[in-house]
Amino acid sequence: MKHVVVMNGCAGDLAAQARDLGDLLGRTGLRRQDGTTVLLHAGEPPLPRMPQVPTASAVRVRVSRYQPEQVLDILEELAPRLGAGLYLFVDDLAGRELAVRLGRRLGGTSLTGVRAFDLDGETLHARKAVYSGHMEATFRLGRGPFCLAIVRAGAALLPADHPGPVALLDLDRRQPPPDWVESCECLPDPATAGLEDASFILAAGMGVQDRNRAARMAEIAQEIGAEFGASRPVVMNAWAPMDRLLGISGALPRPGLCIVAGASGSAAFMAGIEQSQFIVAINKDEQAPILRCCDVGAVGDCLEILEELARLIREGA
Amino acid sequence: MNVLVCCKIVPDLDRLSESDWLVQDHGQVDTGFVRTMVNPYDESALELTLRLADAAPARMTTLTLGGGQAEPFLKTLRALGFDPTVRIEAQGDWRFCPDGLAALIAAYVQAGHPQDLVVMGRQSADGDNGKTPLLLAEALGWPCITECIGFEAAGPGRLKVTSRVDAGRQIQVVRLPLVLAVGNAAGSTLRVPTLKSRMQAGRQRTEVLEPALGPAIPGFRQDYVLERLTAIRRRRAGRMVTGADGCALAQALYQDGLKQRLENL
Repeated sequence: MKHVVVMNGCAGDLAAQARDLGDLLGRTGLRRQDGTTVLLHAGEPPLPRMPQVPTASAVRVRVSRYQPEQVLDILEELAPRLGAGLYLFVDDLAGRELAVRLGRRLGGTSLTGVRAFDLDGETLHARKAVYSGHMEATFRLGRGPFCLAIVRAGAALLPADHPGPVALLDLDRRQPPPDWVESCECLPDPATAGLEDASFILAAGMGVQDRNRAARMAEIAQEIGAEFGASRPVVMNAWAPMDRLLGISGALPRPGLCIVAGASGSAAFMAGIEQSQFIVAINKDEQAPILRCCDVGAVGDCLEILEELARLIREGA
Repeated sequence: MNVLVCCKIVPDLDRLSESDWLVQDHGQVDTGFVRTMVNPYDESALELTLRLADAAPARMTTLTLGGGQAEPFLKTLRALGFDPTVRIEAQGDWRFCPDGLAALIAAYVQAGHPQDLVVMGRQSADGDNGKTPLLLAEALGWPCITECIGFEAAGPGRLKVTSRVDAGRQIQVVRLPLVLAVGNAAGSTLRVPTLKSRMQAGRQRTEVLEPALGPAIPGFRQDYVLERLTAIRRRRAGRMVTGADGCALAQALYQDGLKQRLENL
């Protein structure tokens, strides 16, 4: 099946997008020669190097900035030329909105949060988490083109000698903002990348109890060389910045070690840390679900235990 | 300004224990024994709209799809100033039917209930589709700003919208109409109405509409079909350490795996 991989070069995490989508393409058996990468970018020349995605051809589209309505118009314009039955996006903020709206515009079917899929002739079966991460559903999608936003799996990088696209087309689609946008100011958020790629995370839940104790836990994280993360209730109470959010609507990292302090272990939060190699949990409530979903756990006051743990780690005792 | 806020009443899924996640006939999960609540993202949408109306005149309508269990929540919303509160009487399984839901909302807006702004949460706790606001924007031919975390009036027919984008935030002044999908907006817990306004709200009634199902809704299409539903099990060894106090517990955790893991990072 002809397929298109859409990558948003305006987001600044192109290598991670290429890694995850490339890994998925390798597992689905789609043929390299049937694939086209569409790379959106807003940079000044020199043009960005094509990421290592296993597709034979590529279209590099220069835009003024990532503006969803304008990007959708461009993808709609390219669709007849590409003739694809499958569009793949990364399941980030941009990828989700593009997948759903493009699916509707092309008369096809879209699905977000897709973990895996397989093709059965003209029918596609896709798996995704539902019920806030408690259940996994398998859906049958009958009408193409299929537009899927693929959940990041944190796959390994493709080998450096992996052949990139050979046939390359460059388009310039820079334009002023749409007339309904009177002004637009972008405020970059430099800290976000730290959590997604962290090898060691200290995560706080509501058991941290208040803003001051949450701030102390963030300090401890820094002292022991861990990235600080938090559950949704903690960030919704503004006890931690939003870019520290772990879980379904936040970061989905794959750390080697994750210490979870004061989080009960709701499914939405667990989805954010379940790819950790080793989970240490501290909770006051011995019935908390997190204590059944960790490798090793302790029942007690999270900050008291963490202060002592931090001392042991600093001293390498 | 006419503002429509769409909200869904959902079960509090965190109240279910691991053994409660059983799949019954037709891919159903019994969640009827836990309390219900306004979907968290929709709760933020409702509160952010109330803040808009605090500062500028706005006619706030709220729309939900569901049975009579939504009534206590709609009464609260009336007490907070939403008028009218509208409920489309639900029949059948709407968990994984964002296309139908978007078509219903579009039909409501286009059938004599014109709006300048439609606001809703980015996704619901049970369906997790994350599609309804986007499909609604397509159905209405309006722009859509996703991951909205705040908005305020910016002059006639204009709105200043703050939203999260990949790796940052964006502040835009935009002309209406618009669909807003509310994301993780910190500090947006829904306010509590006064007892007096609750009593007044009790005397008013929800507008209950019968849904026109299937092809009768313009643009309706069932996009995907549920084939299988399985519980996600996250159980690990869960080896518990013991100790007399916090120091002893920390020592035990450190020696029991943590030290070695840190050395291998």
